[in-house]
Amino acid sequence: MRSPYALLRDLHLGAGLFAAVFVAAYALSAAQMAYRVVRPAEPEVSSRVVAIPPGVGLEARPLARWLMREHDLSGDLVEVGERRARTTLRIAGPGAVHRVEVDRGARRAEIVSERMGAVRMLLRLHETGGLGRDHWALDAWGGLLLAVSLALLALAGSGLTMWFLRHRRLRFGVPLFVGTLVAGLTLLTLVRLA
Amino acid sequence: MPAGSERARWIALLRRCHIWTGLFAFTGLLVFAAAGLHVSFRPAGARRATAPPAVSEIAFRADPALSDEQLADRVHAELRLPLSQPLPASAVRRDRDHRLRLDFRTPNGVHRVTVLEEEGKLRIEHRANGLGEFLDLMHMRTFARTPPHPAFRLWAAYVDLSIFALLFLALSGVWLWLESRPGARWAQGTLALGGALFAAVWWALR
Repeated sequence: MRSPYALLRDLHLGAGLFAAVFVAAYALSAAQMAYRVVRPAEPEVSSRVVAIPPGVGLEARPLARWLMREHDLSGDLVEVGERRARTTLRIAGPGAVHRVEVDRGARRAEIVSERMGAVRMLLRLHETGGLGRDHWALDAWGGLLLAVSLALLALAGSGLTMWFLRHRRLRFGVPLFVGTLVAGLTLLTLVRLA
Repeated sequence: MPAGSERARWIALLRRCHIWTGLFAFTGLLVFAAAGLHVSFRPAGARRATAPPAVSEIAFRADPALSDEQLADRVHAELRLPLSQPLPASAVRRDRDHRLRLDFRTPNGVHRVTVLEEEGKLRIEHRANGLGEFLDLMHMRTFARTPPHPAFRLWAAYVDLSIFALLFLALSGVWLWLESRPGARWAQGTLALGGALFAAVWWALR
């Protein structure tokens, strides 16, 4: 039978290793947002024209779903416009923004894609989250954000408990922990009440 | 890399720094996690339920000699909304009725101010943020982009430090694992799983 401490240590290690890549990605992108450490590359722009087969509906959502599936456009349908025989769609995700102009009469769509470089994509991923999105990969990212948030809670809780059980260094650790906790909560309260 | 007992001392120091950094950043990590949970369960765009705003009006004379941007600055100075900043030119807009409309956003909510020039009034609609939205906005506050409110700036400085603390915790945590029990298969698998999932979603969204 393993001791509660050993179980906590495994939980801390498992949660930390699972979340390590995500946490590093979030921390790096946050540092980039705050300090603009590197200059991100401009998005690459490309365009193509695709034919829409007779079986595909020309309404915005079925058409967007078909484009996502058949032409590898990832993202959410964020904008729809209609003008005479033309429909315009904007499908945006962390890695690319696609502007689609559909000629309904000719059943033809022109897709202009802006593909983000790694830095821009990292920043856009940082701002992406939530479930119930238009594209499966966005949903997957939303699920992973949820898992990483729970892992952070598990890490904080297990780390604090282990420190308290074994490693506590009262001279430095307790004032550091209590001081930052009280100060942090006080600052949050002051801002909330401002 | 240090060797022998010196290496053991180095690992002990790294472990101590890992623990102290975690204790320091504890509050920040909780807020980051709360922001992640809030975003995960927040309904998207139009499905988001919002309470009706509190509306008030005050007298205000718009100087006809000012540009829209100057008028926006004058409104900001007049209202002195807590935690708000003067609006950048890109945020100064007119609505469909050609009235100047200014959104002053703070972690506590949005004050939408409409300048009713002919009536000599400002209409102020205040939409308050709930606790989840507040924590989400507080987690993204950094020192360089925070108004000069003492508590707000101190919090932002703490968020800045917590960002680097988080990075240090991730790197030092992996290092400590490699130093203590790198052969644990389940741990190797967990790190590989996290990395593979990140890479797969990155590839799918690229």
